[in-house]
Amino acid sequence: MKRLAAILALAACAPPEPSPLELAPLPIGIAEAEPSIRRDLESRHAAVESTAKTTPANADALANRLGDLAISLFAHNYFAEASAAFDETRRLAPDEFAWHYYYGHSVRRTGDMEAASNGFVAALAVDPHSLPARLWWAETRLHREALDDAEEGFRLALEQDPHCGQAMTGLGRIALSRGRYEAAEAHLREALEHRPDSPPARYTLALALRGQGRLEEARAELEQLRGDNHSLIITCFEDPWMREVRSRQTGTRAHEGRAIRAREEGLAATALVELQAAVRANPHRYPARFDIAGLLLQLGRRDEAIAELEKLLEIRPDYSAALALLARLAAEDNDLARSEQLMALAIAADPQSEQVHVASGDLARGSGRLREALSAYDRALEIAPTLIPAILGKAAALTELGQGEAASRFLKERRDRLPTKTALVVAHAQLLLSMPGSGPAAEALALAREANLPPTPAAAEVLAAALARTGSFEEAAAWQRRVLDALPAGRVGAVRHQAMSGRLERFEQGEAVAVELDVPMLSTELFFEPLANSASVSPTHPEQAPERQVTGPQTP
Amino acid sequence: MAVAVLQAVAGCRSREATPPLVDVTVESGLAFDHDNGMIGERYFSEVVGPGAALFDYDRDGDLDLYLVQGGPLAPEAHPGSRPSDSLLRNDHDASKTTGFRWVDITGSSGIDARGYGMGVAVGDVDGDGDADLYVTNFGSNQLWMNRGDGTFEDATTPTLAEPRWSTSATFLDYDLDGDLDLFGANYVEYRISQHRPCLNAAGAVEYCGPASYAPETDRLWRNRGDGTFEDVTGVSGIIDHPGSGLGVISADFNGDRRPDLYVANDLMPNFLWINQKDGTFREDALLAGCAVNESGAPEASMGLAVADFDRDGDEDVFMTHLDTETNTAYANDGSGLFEDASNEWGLSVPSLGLTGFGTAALDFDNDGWLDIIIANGAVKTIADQRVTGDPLPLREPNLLLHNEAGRFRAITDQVPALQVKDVSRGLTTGDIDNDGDDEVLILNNAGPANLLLNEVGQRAAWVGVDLLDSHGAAMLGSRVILAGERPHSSTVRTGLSYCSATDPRVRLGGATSANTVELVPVRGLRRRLVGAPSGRYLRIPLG
Repeated sequence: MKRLAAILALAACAPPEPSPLELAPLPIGIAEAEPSIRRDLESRHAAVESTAKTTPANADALANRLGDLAISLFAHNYFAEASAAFDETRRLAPDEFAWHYYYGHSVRRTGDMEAASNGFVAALAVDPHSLPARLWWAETRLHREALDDAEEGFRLALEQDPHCGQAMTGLGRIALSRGRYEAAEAHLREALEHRPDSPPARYTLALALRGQGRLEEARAELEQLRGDNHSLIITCFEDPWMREVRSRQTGTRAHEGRAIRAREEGLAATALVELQAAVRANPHRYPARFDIAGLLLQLGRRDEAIAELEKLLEIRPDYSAALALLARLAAEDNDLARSEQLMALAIAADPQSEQVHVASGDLARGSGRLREALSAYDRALEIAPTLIPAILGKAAALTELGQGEAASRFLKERRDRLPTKTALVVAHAQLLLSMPGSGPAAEALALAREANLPPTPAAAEVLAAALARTGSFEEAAAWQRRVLDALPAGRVGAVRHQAMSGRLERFEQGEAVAVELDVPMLSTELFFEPLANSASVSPTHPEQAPERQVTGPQTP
Repeated sequence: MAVAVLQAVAGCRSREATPPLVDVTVESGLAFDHDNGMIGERYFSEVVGPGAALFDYDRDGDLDLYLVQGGPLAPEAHPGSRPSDSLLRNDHDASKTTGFRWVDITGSSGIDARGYGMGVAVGDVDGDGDADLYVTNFGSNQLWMNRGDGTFEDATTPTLAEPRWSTSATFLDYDLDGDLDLFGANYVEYRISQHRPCLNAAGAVEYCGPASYAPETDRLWRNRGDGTFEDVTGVSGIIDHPGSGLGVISADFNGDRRPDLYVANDLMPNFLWINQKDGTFREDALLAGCAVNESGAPEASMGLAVADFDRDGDEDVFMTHLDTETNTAYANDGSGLFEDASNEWGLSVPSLGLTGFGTAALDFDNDGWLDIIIANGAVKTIADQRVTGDPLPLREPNLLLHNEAGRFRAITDQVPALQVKDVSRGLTTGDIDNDGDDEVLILNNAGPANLLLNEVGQRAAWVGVDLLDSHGAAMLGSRVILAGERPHSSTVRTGLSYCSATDPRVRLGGATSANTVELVPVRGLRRRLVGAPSGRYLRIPLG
């Protein structure tokens, strides 16, 4: 308490009378900024200049204008310039909390934690009750390993908000740094009670457990972090100042970033709105236009998608991906002449694009031109020998040409060249399973087992189908259950139990479930084929099969 | 007494007058310019390379040089239009102040490496005692087998011709069967044909970062014993964790005398692959405390140095990062568990504002404490440089950090050659003039390779050890310990990150006239050398 109080006392010393504003020019890089951002910054800069001319003695007015510009600079990642501007606003209006607080954040983004810490101290001198300033001060002190300062900050924050997980995590990290593992564990478990989704708390808890020699418990905590973004800090307060910064992030990249997040969350319509905003900010942003077209197709707005692609091609006539996509759409409209013309343009625009050659192969295969398709896939494979869509396309084309064995040999050869080969093993096994006789099925099973496939739904499906074809129904059922377990709970829902029993009992029911769950049909069909073909079982009454004796699938 | 004081003063003056590292690029005849192929599209891959290798290809006792080249990247570019990598021979030349000069022998060596180069690894693949080369590319990689007669042949098999974007690679004998296996780090799924311009927050076109693309799977190949390899990425478990790998070094991190692997990933948690002694590896970096920084956040790890910085007998890890992150040091507790020691060792602050790539541990003044050198270069446009019309406005000075008994201090101000701003990437070290200290080679993207001669290390006592296997090649993975009140140690390795390969000979500073040296071979019994002289290399076959 005394330490922070002393720092605050120093920070609160009366500043000298502010001298006139020396306005720095806009950042050099602004010349390359997109027009809307450049205009925004220029107008705010002009407003500062105007205020400096009209009311040069009004420090508060100047600070407000300059701070307004600085917030925009911050929003567009001009951190050094923003920091300089905020520093000036601090000088002009030292009693204004926001400028110290913004300065702390802005300079923190440059990596200078000492200066950031000073900014937050000054903010606290203005508003000693500010939880955000206190917590960020503690964070910056912790970053500099000033453990006593940081501890004081987090403890004071907890006095203000006893439920603040951020402060508890901070105390846990401090205890960990001091080697006090049990104390760290206590803080972090409490933090996780309040914020179970806090990666820093969970990570630090794991290290605290590790410090106590409880390695397996630590490992269990860390398993929960796999694939996580490990976001740095989860705050326990509303931050209107930083919300203002975010609200000014209106550039193309900000919109595209929000669109990506929306797509990841399955919010296609939201993503579309963001991408359309990105294109408004930068009408020449052709990748965004391409993504808009993709989303429009996903949303069933086909004509708009085509229009968007055509607009894109006005900007970038040689954008091969757009040409290839338009070619596909033309083929769907049975306009084969236009489709071929567009595909030829796509290939001419980027002859080294393996993706375009794959698209060309898919198009040819779709229209039954299998030899042409093979050539296109071969061209793609010359450029990218391990490109999985090209390998799968070629194998499919060979199969459709009646060269199943050649397809099988080809897949085997490519599998041997790829470290990440799950998709190929699955495809190869599926191909083998589509062949008549027990030999290919046994080969498929051996292949799936040997490959030690990761437990993805597709891999488990194949394994289950191969097992079923070779008569190991119990194990097959167990793998099917694994498939279902791997599916998102929301998709499985009420039909899960039905699927579990239905797949073994009735083909029709299993098929319906498969459709509902959107799982691959091929293996579902294969799964039931032995039942249907069994000499002892009527195809129309597979439920009488001896396999019904199974009391329940075993865990693989 | 007065004489001693005068000598001390004179010594101080001498040190002030002579920078510890002096640029001898021109003097040594090194004339290599990297071509990154940039045409204004800002292709991601054009700012990532290159690396280089210091290795004795002709076994004449001095280090030769392999330099990785780039070339055109545009979709219409044909690989044949690219310049080849270069092989330079180190020739004694008494007329030079350096005592040596470089002679370009690429043409006569048979090497015709025209991939878009990233890095290079060195090891005796076929057990004939000669150093072979594995060149990593943005595109298919190449294995160049050293015939032993001054020429190389392309021995790339489909398995080794990894088509992904490869960066650093390293040889190691992970199964301890006496031959060298190979680990290759791969970066992200980026292809020129899929290039989409990235933007900065203000909407200006910028180089992309790794987050724009999916990470790739690294690869592990097992040497069958005859110089051919089988891909064991799947069975070894390496397949389980794709990552945006940029740096890799093999070392025994947990003291079980089995080579493990550490992979520096860009903006993803790093990997610590612990050798399970059964042909598999377990990724344990999170538990080990070296996957992410102390607040649990992954950093943009690029360059990587592994060494016993704190002289406690184990392998610590140092990594270079982006300008807004600090570089990070992880101190090993000897069991393979780490703690972030960046602040404690004074390594955080000097790195702020600089984006680090290649790095190495070297005891440049042979005082017995391993120092750190870092090649820096931004990845995002520096506006001030842009307005001057610089086509690659990513230039930054490099950094030399002196280890002062466990605490590092930046001394770049003493080395004018390191203050020159460039887009530095790869970095390698080695005793090119065989005087017992490390020279430094810095590779600049779209710029020259710069050679810095060490002017101070030879003044102090050192012990040099050249540990050899039964074929006469470097016995990678073995450790050499200089006994004393506070022993210090170093590992025989060629793998150096970023994208480079280093002198496998071990030099230990802080020696006396007669030293006790402990040898811990990667295979076989420990040995102890008593009365080992200083000031020369001891060639010790342990095979």
